[in-house]
Amino acid sequence: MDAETLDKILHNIKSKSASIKSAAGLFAESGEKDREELAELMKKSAEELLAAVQKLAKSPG
Amino acid sequence: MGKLKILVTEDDALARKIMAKNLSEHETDFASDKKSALARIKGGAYDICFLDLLLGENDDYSGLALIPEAKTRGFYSVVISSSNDEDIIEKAYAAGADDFYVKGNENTAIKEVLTRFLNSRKIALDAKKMFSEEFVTEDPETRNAVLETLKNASTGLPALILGPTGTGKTTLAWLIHRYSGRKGPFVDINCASYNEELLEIELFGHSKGAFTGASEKRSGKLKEADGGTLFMDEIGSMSPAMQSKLLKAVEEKSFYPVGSDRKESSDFRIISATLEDPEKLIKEGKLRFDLFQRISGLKIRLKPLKDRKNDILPLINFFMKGKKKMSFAPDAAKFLAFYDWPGNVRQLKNLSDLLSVCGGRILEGDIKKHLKAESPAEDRRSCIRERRELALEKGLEELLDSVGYEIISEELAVNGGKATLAIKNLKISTRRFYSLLKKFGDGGK
Repeated sequence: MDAETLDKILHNIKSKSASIKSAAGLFAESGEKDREELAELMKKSAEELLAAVQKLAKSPG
Repeated sequence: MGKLKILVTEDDALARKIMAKNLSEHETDFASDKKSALARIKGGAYDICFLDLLLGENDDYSGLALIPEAKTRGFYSVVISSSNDEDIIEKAYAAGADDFYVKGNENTAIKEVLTRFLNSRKIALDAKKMFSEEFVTEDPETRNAVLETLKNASTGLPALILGPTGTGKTTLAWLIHRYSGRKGPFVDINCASYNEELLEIELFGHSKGAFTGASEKRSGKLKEADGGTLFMDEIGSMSPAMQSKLLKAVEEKSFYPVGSDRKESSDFRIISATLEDPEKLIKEGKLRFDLFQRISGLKIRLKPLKDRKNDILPLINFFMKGKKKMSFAPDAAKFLAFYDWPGNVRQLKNLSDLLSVCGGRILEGDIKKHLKAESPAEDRRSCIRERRELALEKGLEELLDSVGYEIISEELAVNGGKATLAIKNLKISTRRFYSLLKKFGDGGK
């Protein structure tokens, strides 16, 4: 994996993690409808996060 | 805060949702890729554009590429990144970004960005009036430095203003306070005007009975500046012990008034100033390094008037407002431009006040006459400097004796050589009178 690709994957991981963290902060103060939407989006982001981490695991070098 | 028109470029649906929640009081448009973002920017009128650094997994820093387009249209551009890597921050600002924030703390970060935007908009609107009526300057470098400092006024960071005497340090400190949004008062103190004991009392206040004459408890400047700003001029003149006490008070936002064992607290923002080079003061042991680090958040150096001579005429016009109009003969205008202005803007103001009495057409001679008239203080300082050199060479006692002899000689010359009258007038002993005459006069040769 070249340095630029690695950089972008790492950036993606940080970005998804940060969004999940912010969403978790908003969750408690949200209404039921927003909570449903947030939970769904957090789940999707978490899956994308996992996919990005798996890319790293496959090709750590 | 009124409703703002905001564009958010963000490819991640969850991040868009978070932005929408945090910007719900404003009118917000979203774009999820570079093409639609560009179309929005070209076709819209936004106050702020939040630009995600990367739009998509294989994106090539679209956030940065969009900045010039947004800036051309006068939109306040904020780069959002998941990394606070210095290289990325540098790239963002080099591309022209106005602000930058790291994802993950939107709840507070967005509020802070909006405050900085509103402050920056207010400063831009006020700039014309500010530079013609408050901090008068047409010098682009000085204007930029002042505006940059004021844009960060709301951060609450301490500020350190450097520059020679009379360059406007107090005015700038007051402007920082005004744009800081702090509700408390602006309190100023010149540290060089007090000895150590008095400075401690002025800064920290004192309890009842703390010293003879302290019949009542009195608050100091630190307490007065609660919720506001404390401006400390000539901070390098404080003793190391006082600097240590101040450092503790700045760090803890609490202190003990003189003679009291009850701690007081105060939420003050500190702005300091010095006309000397702080690094030199540190090397000489006159300024504590830890205090310097604590007080130098925003740092600005004001140029002396001799390095911004285009400001001379605008400043004179400003000082002459409401007074009798005057014009400068060509030789007078030339003199104003070539003179070095050691007392800077303050000296120019004094001259303007003196010239305003004459008004009409000002000649070079008028200026020289007034500058000469206001220079005794400088002459005196120069005389003291010379005498100090002599004292270092010969010793202070010897120098004082020689000055005493000069005064006795002058008194004898004035009263026709009457020694008894000279002794009486100068209020010295007969013995000292004759010993000085003997030492330096004919008897001493």
